[in-house]
Amino acid sequence: MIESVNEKQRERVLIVDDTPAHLRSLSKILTDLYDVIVAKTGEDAIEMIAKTDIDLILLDLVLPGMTGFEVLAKLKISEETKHIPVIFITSSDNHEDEMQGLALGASDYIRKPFIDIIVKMRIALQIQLIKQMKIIESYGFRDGLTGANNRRSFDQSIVREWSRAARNQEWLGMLMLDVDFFKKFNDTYGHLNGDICLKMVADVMRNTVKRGGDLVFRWGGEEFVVILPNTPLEGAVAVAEQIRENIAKTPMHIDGEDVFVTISIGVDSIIPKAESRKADFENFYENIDKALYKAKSNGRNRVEAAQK
Amino acid sequence: MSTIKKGKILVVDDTPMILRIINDILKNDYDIIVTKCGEQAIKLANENIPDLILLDIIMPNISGFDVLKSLKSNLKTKNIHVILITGGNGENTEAEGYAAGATDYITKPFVPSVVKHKVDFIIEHVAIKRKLMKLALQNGEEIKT
Repeated sequence: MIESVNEKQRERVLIVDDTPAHLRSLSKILTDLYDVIVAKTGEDAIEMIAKTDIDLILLDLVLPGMTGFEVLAKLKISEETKHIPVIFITSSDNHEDEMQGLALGASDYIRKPFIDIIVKMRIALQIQLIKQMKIIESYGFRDGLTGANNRRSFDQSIVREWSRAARNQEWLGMLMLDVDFFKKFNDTYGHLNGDICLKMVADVMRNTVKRGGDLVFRWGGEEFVVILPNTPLEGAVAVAEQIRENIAKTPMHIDGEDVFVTISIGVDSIIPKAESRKADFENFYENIDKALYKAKSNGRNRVEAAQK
Repeated sequence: MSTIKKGKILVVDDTPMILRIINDILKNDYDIIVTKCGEQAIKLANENIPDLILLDIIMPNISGFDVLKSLKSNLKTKNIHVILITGGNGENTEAEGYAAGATDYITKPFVPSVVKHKVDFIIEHVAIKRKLMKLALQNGEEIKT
């Protein structure tokens, strides 16, 4: 089912309102359906949006400090935030405000006092559109054979995750893995079974990495990469071991016989420097590649961490 | 010069002036079908399967709510998006509309740019859903709607 693309994550809604009672009632309406976070000022909201992935913003028009219009205008000039739908929610009954909000790029406009079903339905419509857009985009970023994210997706994701880790000074874990003796497998069982093998490896990897933000990519051929945000080396090694173990014990049924493959994995984790350069990532990547090579030369079916 | 229209919209209101105004707001981008009568709206929806229906609530003979309920109980028309046109006399009407399956509502007196925005948004939604279903079909995948 294509819904599986996003089934791990609930959408996150940011409510920006300076009235505690409104924050409380809106949170109560939405908390069963979405991950809800709140901000009381426009400035706080901008800061939260820079640090966290937000799928939709409910924005009060009248706020202390920056107004809702100013917050929206700021979001719309940034490449990273301009696609986030913003719904104004306000006591203003002024059509001019509504027109101005929509002209600035707001997605919708809800008047206070609101009633639950109206807020829910308006948000549901926007969220449904976001989900569908994400699925459409995912088709261009998916490997047709294995269903894993493709190389193009990796190129985008690593830039985003590296920047986020550098900004928040968090660990970024990465695994590179390769199916052992894959050429021999293909020669023995044929290329069609080789495809089945790659699909099995990708499926097991996806089922093993449980957190919503963890990402599995097919790098090319029989090579795969996993990005593990906010994961120090010990955690990344533990995930790698789990993937290795799960693949080694998953049989493929070929011509009445259970066939098993193993994989070798190189692992590293880094807190990228705040002012990272391309060379820093290349260095990180090379260290993991060397660790993978070491796992191969040390006998395969094993995990090796990069040397510091 | 004719342009490619983005979708087909059925507008249902017993006031000719409202039909004219909405037609003027949308006619450059959409194919518009209009009717003043609820029974006729149900017939036209079945025959034309529009992408969106703008539906007045208060009409003689059959109300907008009854039209909405009829559309939503018919397999052929139940997936058509409906924006209700309300008199602005209470949010309970709007809540009732949502509960009956409306996608959104417009309150009279309405602002042309707001009507246009709401219609464009839903038509974009319809186009994306179609694209998604086409992609899913090409990839041999199931899609839940």
